[in-house]
Amino acid sequence: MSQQHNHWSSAWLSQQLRAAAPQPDVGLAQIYRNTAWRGWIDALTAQYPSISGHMGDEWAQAAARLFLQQHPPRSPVMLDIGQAYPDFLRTFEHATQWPWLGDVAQADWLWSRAHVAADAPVLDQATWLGAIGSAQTTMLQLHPSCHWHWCEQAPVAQLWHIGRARISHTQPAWHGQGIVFTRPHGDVFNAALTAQEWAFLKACAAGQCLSQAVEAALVTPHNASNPDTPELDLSAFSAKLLRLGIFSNHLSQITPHA
Amino acid sequence: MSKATPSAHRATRQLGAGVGAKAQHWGDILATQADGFWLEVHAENHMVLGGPRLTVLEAIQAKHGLSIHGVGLSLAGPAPIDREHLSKFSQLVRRTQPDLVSEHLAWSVDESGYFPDLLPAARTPALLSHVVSRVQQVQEAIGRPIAIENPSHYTAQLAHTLGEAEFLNALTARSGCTLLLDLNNVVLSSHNLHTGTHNWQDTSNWVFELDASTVSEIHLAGISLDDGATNACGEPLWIDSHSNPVDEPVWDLYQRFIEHAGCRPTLIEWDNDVPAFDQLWRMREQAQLVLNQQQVCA
Repeated sequence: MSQQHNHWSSAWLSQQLRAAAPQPDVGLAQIYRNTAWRGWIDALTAQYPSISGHMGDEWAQAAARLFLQQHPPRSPVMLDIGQAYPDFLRTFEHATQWPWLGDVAQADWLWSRAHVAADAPVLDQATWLGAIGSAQTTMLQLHPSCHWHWCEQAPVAQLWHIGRARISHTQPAWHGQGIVFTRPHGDVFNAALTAQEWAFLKACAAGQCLSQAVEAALVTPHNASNPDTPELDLSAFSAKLLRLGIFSNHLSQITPHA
Repeated sequence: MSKATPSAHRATRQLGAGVGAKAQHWGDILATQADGFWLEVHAENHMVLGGPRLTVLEAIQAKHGLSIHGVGLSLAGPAPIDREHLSKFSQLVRRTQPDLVSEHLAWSVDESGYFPDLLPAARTPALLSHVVSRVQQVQEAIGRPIAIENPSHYTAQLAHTLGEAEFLNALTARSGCTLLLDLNNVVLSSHNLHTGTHNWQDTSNWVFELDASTVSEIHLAGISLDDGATNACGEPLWIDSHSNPVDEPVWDLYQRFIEHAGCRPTLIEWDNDVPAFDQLWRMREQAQLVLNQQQVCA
């Protein structure tokens, strides 16, 4: 009778739903189990479309199921689940042939962070020209939607694009690469980053002034990760920063020490 | 703890029949001109800091009514209400001031995490007090009453001690909330729980025992058949899949309830295998026709 008493209690039902495989006494709780697992897997694969693009839907769903067993979602906001999935893929025993898969997943995660980020006016040309004029005392602020990832071993931007667009039979040029996401207005933008561009963004994020960030970029070997990468063209890079909306339209001034 | 009172939220426009908002229908939705048309969105899909998921709500509200429908507060659940989640829910409601706000008589959160489903709880006096308290907590957070949706049922093994109408009438009376009457849930539950001793559709008539004045919204949806489980009569269980047209027994109950209670904002839910907007719109028009035939509107 005590077993009957516990039947359909929240604790019993929770146990039935979380189990990796249906329990012998699952009964009609299988209906809820089907819905819960479908919801979890659909949400995670939707969060990481590039993984499905590279590996196929069946592989992606199976990997998602294994991940979710180890990392049960805690948030009702499905947009926020799966932050640990890129790290899971980096050590996933069935993904050892694709060591860059975690980096591609990281790019998917950052796309969604850009998508849901706070709104803010983007840096306009006049403010940018003002910042250049006082580069030694001006700090640029990254736009809330700006997120990037650097991968030393693989062309993450190309791989992300191939997975996202489900492009087959494409061999990217193999070199280190970064990817940046922004959402200056409604749509999320993306662009590849060179090592010098990445160094510039890192310096800005670390609170260095504009001139220091430029210096950080210029002292970074432009062709260390990719022999074909030309030296940074500051004029073209400026245009890229403005076009992508990397920075918000708010500048901070460094107060010189007395 | 006091009952929530109507606050200075957006003056309620006269809502007729609406549909669940789907991204693939944005163009059609924003091009539509129809009196009383409204859209429902799931709150959790719009709990963001900024960007298109908020601007689309502004675009909807510029032309149509809006309902914020929560799926994650776990009002009948064993774990305390997640304060962070309630805060996000409240921020969304206060920011958008929607025409309607609703949640479920179900649970989805325990100490180990969140389940993307609406899980059942036995209707007992203890559950009633528990849910009343939590509904009041939500209403105080959002500053207005909320509508609570009746669940779908798949099993007769839950140890209910209160009838469904009895429970819901007490919930509205004690908490000040209203009801979102999901007629598809009512009909599919009647089918799933019947034992063949009488006409199963008659068991849906408990909806006429509700205090009709507390019903602020109605949901209509389509079911799918479970490919494994059956009811006591050996018939496949009906699943609340929102993946098909509204069934005839649901339309019949809807017609009778509107004749009984008067017009209520009515939503066509279709969340899986979503059809073209035209097909959805035809069902919306069918519901609107039922409303138009009534003289008494809430």
